Amino acid sequence: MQTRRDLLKHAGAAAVLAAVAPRAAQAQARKPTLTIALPSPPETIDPHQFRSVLTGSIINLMGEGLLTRDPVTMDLKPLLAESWRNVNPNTWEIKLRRGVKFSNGEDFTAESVKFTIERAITSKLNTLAKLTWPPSFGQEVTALDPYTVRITTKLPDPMVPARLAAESMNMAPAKGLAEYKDKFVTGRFIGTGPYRLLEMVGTDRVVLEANPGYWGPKPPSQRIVWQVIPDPATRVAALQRGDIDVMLNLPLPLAPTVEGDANLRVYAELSSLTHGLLLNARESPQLKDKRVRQALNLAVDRQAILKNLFNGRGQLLNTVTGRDVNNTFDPGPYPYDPARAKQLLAEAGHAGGLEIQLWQSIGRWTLAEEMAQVIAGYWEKVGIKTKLQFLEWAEYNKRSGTSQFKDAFYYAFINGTWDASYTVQRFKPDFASFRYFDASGDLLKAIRDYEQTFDAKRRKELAATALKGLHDEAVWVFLWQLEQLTGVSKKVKGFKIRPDDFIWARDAYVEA
Amino acid sequence: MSVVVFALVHFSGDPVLLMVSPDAPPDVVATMRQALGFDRPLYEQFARYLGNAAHGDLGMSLRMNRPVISLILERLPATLQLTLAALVIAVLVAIPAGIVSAVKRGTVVDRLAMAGAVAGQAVPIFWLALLLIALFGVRLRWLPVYGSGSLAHYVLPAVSLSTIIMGRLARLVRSCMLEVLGQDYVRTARAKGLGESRVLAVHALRNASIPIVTLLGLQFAQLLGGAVVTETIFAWPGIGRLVVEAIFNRDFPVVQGVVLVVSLIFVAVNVLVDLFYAVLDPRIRTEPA
Amino acid sequence: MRRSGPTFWLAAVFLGAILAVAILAGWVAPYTASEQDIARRLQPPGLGPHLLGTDEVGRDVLSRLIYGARISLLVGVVAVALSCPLGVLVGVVAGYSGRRTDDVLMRVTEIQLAIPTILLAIAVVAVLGPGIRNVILTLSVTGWTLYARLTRGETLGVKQRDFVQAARATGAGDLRIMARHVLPNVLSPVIVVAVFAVANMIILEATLSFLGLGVEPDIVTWGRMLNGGRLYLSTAWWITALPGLAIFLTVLAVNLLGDYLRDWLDPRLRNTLRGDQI
Repeated sequence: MQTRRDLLKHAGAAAVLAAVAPRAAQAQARKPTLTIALPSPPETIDPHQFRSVLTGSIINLMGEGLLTRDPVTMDLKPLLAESWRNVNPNTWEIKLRRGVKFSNGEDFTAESVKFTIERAITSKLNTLAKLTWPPSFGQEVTALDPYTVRITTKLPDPMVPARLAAESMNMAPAKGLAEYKDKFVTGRFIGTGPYRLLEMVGTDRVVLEANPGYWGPKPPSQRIVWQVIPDPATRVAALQRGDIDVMLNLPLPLAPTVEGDANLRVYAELSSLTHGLLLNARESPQLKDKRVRQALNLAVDRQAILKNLFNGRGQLLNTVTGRDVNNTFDPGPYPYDPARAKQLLAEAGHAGGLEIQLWQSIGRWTLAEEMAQVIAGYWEKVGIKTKLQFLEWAEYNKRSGTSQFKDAFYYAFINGTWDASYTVQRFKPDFASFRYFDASGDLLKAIRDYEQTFDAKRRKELAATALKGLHDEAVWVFLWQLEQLTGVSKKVKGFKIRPDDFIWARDAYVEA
Repeated sequence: MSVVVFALVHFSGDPVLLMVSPDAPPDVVATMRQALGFDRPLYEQFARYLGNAAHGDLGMSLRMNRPVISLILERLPATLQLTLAALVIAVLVAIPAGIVSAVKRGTVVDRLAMAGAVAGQAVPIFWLALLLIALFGVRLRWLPVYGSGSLAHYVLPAVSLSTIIMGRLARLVRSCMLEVLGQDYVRTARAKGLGESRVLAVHALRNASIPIVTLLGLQFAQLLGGAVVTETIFAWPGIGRLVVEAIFNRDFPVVQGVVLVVSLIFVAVNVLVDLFYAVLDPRIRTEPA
Repeated sequence: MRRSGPTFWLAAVFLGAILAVAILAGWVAPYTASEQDIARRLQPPGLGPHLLGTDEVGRDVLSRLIYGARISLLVGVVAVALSCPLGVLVGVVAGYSGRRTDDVLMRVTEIQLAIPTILLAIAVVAVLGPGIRNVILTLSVTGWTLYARLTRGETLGVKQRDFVQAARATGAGDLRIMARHVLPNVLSPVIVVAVFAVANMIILEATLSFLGLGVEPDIVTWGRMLNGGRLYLSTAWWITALPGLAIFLTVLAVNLLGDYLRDWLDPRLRNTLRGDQI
C-alpha cells in the first residue's frame, strides 16, 4: 500500500525528472554542424573588400561592427560599441565595449576603430564602405581614450550610426593587419566574431568554427559549412538527400519540389532589392519629357507580370526606396492605363509612335530576359517600338554605373544604410555614379535638406517630399520587390534572412 | 592558344575597368592598372607573360588575389581523377561492346549496341547528368550528387562524362575488330585450331589496339572539355569549374593559365600515345596518320 | 548497316522534314517564336491551341521548335561552311607544298588542336561576348583544324599519283594543279566529315547555351530551349524533353546518313576516317 509519503516522494522525483529531462534532451538535441549551400563562392575573405550580401554575411560571422541591426526589426543595436551620442551636428562620440579580443589575441580598442575606418574609407583600396560613406562628408576619427572614439564630419551627418552598422564596416585589428593597410588580405581572417575561419577549400567551401574566445554568448552551432554548389538543380537534390541543411537562392521553378518534400520547407522573405527600369533622362532626348516617362509607367501591367511570371511572390513598388526601409513613403501606384499612356505620348508629341531601347542583363536576375520581353510587349501595345538589348552581367554592370545605356535599363538596388536617403541621394547632380536623372529645384532642395537634418519628424517629412517628387518625375518605371526563396530542412531552427537580405546564421542550428 | 586568348582579351576592352566596380574613383583604377602591368605595350606584356610562365608564374587571379598557378595546381588533380575515371568506365563498357558487336555482326545484339552508341553521342551531357541526379541521387538516394570525397562521389560525374566518348569508342572498336577479323593471320590462327577467345584476345585485339589507343589519346581532350560542364553540375572541385567561374568573373589571367596548362597536358598525352604507337608496332614510321 | 535499308530511309525522311520545316518556318509554325502570354504559361502538351504545350513565359513550344530548327541548323551549317573551306585550303597547301610550309602550317594546326574544343569555344565566346555572330565565329574557329589535317593527309597520298605527276610534267602551275587535280580527289572524306560536323556543332551550341554563352535571348535555338527549361525538369518536362529529343533525333539521323554517305562514296574510307575525325 502506498503511503502519502511514498506518493509525495514519487511525485517529487517525477517533478525533478520532468524539470531536468527536457533540458538534458534539449542540450543533446543539436547537430554540431550546419551546412549551407550557396551558388557561388565568396569572392574574398578580406573584411572590407566584399561586394555581395552573401559574402558579407559569411564575413560578419567572423568580424563585427560597432553597431548591428536586429534581424527582425532592423533597429540599430550596439555590438562592439556600448553607446553612441551626437555631441554636436558635426561630431559623434562612441563608447566602446571593453574586454573584447580579436582572434589573434589583440585587444579591441579605439586604435582598432581608427585603423578600420581609415582602411575602409580613406585608403587606396576599393572597398564597399566607400559607397556608404560619401566623401563629401569627410570623416575624421580621433581617440579620446582607449575606449572612446569621436567621429567628426565636415557636413552634419545624422546617418553616422547607420553607416557604422553596415556590414562593410566590421572592425579589423590595427596591429594584426598593419601590413594590409593598402592591400587586401587573403587566406585568413582576424576578427572579434562568434566564429573563426577553420578552412577555406579553394572555391569549394568555407568552414567556420565557433570562436572559443568570443566575448558574447556561445553560438548554437559548433561549425558552419558554406558549401558551393553552382547548379540549382543539384543544390535542391543535395537538400532533398539531407547532405545540406539550407539551400540559398532557391529558384522559383524549383520551389514546388521543395514544398512537396515532407522534410523541407520554403522560407520566403521579401528581398530588399528594389527593381526598376531606369530611364536615362540625361542622355535620351525622348525621355526628357516627364509625360513620356509617365506613359512608360502607365503602359505596363505590373500586377499581371508579378502574378503570372513570379507566381505572385513579391510586392509592387511605387518608388525608389523599398518597403520597411526607414523613412520610406508610398506615393501610390501608376495604374495600368494604356489609354492614358497613349494620350500622354500624344501630348508629348509622339502620337505617331516612339522608339525605345531597353537593356537587360543576362543571368543576373531571375527571369530577367523573359521579364524584359513581357515589358517590351506592353510597350508595343501603346505604340512604342521597343528594341531589346541583352548583355552579360560583367559588362552590363560596368556600363550601368556610368549610365551608358540609352534609353532604359533594368536594375535592382540594395539599401546600405536602411534609410531612404541612401536611394534618394543618388539623384543629386554631384553623385558619383548612376547619373541618369538630375534632380533640380524643390526636389533637389528637399534631398539636400533631408541628408543633413537630424530631427526625426522632419526627416520623415523631407523623405516623403523627395520620394513623392521622384515618383511624379517618373525617374523609373517602378517595378517591384521580389521574394527571396530559401530551401530549408525542417530540422533547422533559428535561421533567418534579415529584411536587407543579410543572412543571419549566428543563431541557427540543426536539430538532431 | 595563349596568344589567341591574350589577344582577344586585350582587344575586347579595358580589362581593368571590367574588374573594378562602376563607382570606383579614377585613382583606384589607375593604381590597379599599374599594379597589374596593363599600362605597358602589348608585346612587352605578352613576352613577360611567357617568360614568367616558363618559371611557373602564371600571374595573379584578379578576383581571388592569389597566384594562378597555385589555383590551378590545387584543382588539377581532381579533374585528372575524374577524367581518368570516365576514361576507365568508357573503356570498360565500349571495348567489350565493340568486340561483341563485331563478333556477332548483323545480329540484334550488334544493332542494339550500335544504336546505343550513336544515341550516346547525340545526348547533351548536361541533360543526362541532371537526369542521373534526379534518378540515382534523389529518387533512389543511392549516390551523392555534389563534391568529391569518397568513391561513391565519383560514380555519377564519371558516368556522365564517359558518355561523351563511349559511343564513338564502341563504334571504333567494332570497325577495327571487323577489319582485323577478316585478316589472314586470324584465319591462320583459327586454322591452327586455337580457341576462339584466344584468337580474339591475342591476335585480333593486339592489332586493333593501335587506332583505338590513338583515339583514346584524342578523346582525352574531349573529356577535359566535357569536364567543364560536368564539374559545374556536380560541384566537382576541378579546373573545369575554375575556368567557367573565371570567365564569368572576367578573370582573364586564370583563363589564360588554364588554357596553357591544359594544352601542355594534352601535348604530353599525345606524346605518350605516339610512344605507345611506336612500341606497339616498330614498323610504323613518323609518316602522318 | 547496309545501304538503303529502312534506317537509311527513316533518317533521310526525318532530315528532309526538319530541313523543310526550318525553311518554311514562317508558314508552318502556328505562332511566332517570341509571342508570350504569361497567363498561359507552363501548359502541358495536349489537344488545345498549343499542341506541344507552352514554356515558362507562355510561348508555344511547337513554334519554338520549328524556328529553333532554323537557327540551330543555320548555326551548324554556316559554321561548317566557314570552317571547311578554310581547313581544306590550309590542308591542301600544306600537303602539296614543300616541307617548310607544311611544317609551319601543321604546327599552327597542332597548337590549336592541343586545346579541347569546348575550352577554346568558351574562351573565345567569353571574350567576344555571346550572341549568334560570335557563336558561329567561335564554332568556325574551333572546327577548321579537322579538315586541315584530313586534307593534308589525303593530299600527301594524291600528290604521288600518276595524273598529278603528269600534270607537273606538262608544266602546269602549282595552283592549277592543286585546284584541278588535287582538290576534287580529296573532297570525299571532307564531305563526310563536314556532315558529321554539323551534328557536332548543334551539340556544341547547346553546351554553350547551357554555360550562358549562347545566342541572344530573343533568338531561339534548341540549345536555348534546353537551357531555359532546365529548372523545370520535374514540373514541366516538355520544355526540355522536346528540344532534347529534337537534338537527339537530328544528330542521330545525321550520323546515320553520314555512315551511309561514307560507305557509298568509298568503302575504303572507313579506315581512313576511323581515327580522329568522326
